[in-house]
Amino acid sequence: MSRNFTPEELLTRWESRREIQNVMGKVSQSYIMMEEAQIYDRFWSKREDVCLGVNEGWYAGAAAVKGYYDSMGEKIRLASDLIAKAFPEKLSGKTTDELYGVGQLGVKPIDTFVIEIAEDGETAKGLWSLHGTYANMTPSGPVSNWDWGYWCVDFVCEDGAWKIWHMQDLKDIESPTGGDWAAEPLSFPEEPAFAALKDFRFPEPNVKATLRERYYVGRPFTETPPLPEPYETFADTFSYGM
Amino acid sequence: MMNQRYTNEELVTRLWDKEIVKDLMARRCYYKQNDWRQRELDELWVRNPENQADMSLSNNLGYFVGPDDIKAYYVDGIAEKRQRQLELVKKTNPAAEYGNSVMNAHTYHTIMVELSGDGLWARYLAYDHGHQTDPQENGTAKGYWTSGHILADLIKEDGQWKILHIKQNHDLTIPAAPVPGAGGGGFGGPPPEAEGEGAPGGPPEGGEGPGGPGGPPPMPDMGPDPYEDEYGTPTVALPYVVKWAWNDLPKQMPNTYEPHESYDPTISYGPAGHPDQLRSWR
Repeated sequence: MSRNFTPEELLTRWESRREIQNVMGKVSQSYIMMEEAQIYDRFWSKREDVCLGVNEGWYAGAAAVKGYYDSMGEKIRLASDLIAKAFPEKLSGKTTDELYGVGQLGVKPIDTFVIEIAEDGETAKGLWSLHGTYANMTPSGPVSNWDWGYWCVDFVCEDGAWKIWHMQDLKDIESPTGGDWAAEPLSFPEEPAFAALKDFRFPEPNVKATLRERYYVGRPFTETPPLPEPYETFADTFSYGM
Repeated sequence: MMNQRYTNEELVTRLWDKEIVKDLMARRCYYKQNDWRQRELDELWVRNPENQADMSLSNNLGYFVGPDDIKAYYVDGIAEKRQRQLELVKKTNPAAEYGNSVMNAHTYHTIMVELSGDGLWARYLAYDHGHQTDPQENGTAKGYWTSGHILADLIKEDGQWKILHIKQNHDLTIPAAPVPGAGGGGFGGPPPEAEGEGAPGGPPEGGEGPGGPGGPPPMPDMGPDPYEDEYGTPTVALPYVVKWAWNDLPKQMPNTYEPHESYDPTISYGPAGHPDQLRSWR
C-alpha cells in the first residue's frame, strides 16, 4: 500500500477482498452446478466494454461475452438430450429441465489468489490459479480432461457490489486425463450416439489474438500472467482486458 | 478468549495481516513458477542482516541457511538445471532459448495462517499441488503431477511481512501418463525387487506390506524422481521424509495448530524447529 488507511477503511478493504474471493468462488461453483449459462447475468458488469479472453482471442462486448456463456448452456442441453436417448431405461420420462446437465461434470477449483484493490476503491484486480477437470462431451462420448491455467480478472464496483469487468480464462494444460500433455493427446473412437456433437461449435472469439499458447514440446518459456500490483486508480495500472 | 485482549483497531490489523500473509505467499508461488528466484529473495524474504542469518529454505533433505547458501541452492541451482535442460533441447532444436519445453506450476491451497499473540510472527501452512514438465533426451518431454506440504514462518520487518523460513516438503511425483504396473500411482512405493523377494525396509514385520508375502506387488521401476534433481546438499542435513513410501511412518511435523504469544524458534520451520523425535509434537 502506498498510503496508510484508517482502521475503518482497512476493514472495508478487507471485506472487499473477501467479497471478490466469493464472487470468483461462485463462478467456480457455477461450473460444478452446471450453471455456466447464468454466469454473465449473475457476476459480470453490465457495461458494454466488458471482455473475456481465452487462449485464442477475445469475446469483446456484452453480447459476445453473454453469447459465450449461452453457448455453454446450449452444449449442456444438447449433450443431456443425447445422454437421455442413450439411456432410455434410466432417463425416459424426465423433462428437459430435469435432464439438463445429466452425466456431465466440470470442476474448476481456484486458489493462490493475488488481489489488489485500487486506493480509490472503485476497481480491483485478481489473479488465480485454476486446477480443474471436466468431462468434455465429444462425438466419442464423455472424455475427461485436465484443465489447468489461470483466471485473471479486473473488477468494477457497481452499486456496492463487485462485478467482473475484464477476464482472461487461460489454459496451460487442457488434455485428456490418463495421457501426458507433453505427448500426442489420447484419442477415442466415435460413438454413434454422440455423433451429433460433431456439428456443435462454440462461437469463435470476435477478436482473434493469441493470448497464451497451451503447452507443447518446444513452447518457449512462458511466464504466468502479470501479477496485480498496488495502484491508486485504474488508469495507473495494467488491464486484464484488451 | 485470546481476542479479548485486543482493541478493535488491533483486530482489524490482525485480519488484514492474515490477508497480506496469504497474498505474499501466493506471490511467492508465482515468482517460483517464473524462475524469478533472486527477485523472490530480494522482494519477499527478510532483508535485515540479523534476520537473514536465520533465514532458511528447506527441502526433504534438510535446510539451506542464510542468503548465500539459499542463493547457491535456489537461484544458482535452477539456473544450472535450466542450462542442462536447454542443452538437451538444443540437440533437436538448436534455436531454443532459456526454458524451452519447460513448464512448472505450483498452487497453494487449504491455507492456514496463525498469528502470534504479539502480531509479529505468522505461521503459514498450505498444500502445494502442481505440475512439472521436463524436456527429454530425444526431443520429447514428460509431464508430472507434484504435491507436497508448504510451511513458512513470516515476521514483520519494519512493518512489512517478510518470509523468514520456508519448508517445502515434497510428497509425491506422479507421471501424467500411467506407468504400466503402477496402477496409476507415482513415485513413492518401495523399489522393485527380484521376483519372490520383498522390498528392503518395505513390508513391515509380518509381511503384509507391498512386495511382501501376501502383500500387493512392489512398484515398478519408474527411474529417478525428477523432483529430486533439485534437492542439492543442504547446509543442515536434517531430513524430513526423503521419499514418501507406502510403508512410511506418519510425517514428523512441529505442532502448527496452537497459537503462540511470540516467535519461538523451537517450533519454527527453521532448523531449530525440526522434529527430531518421532511424534514428539503429539
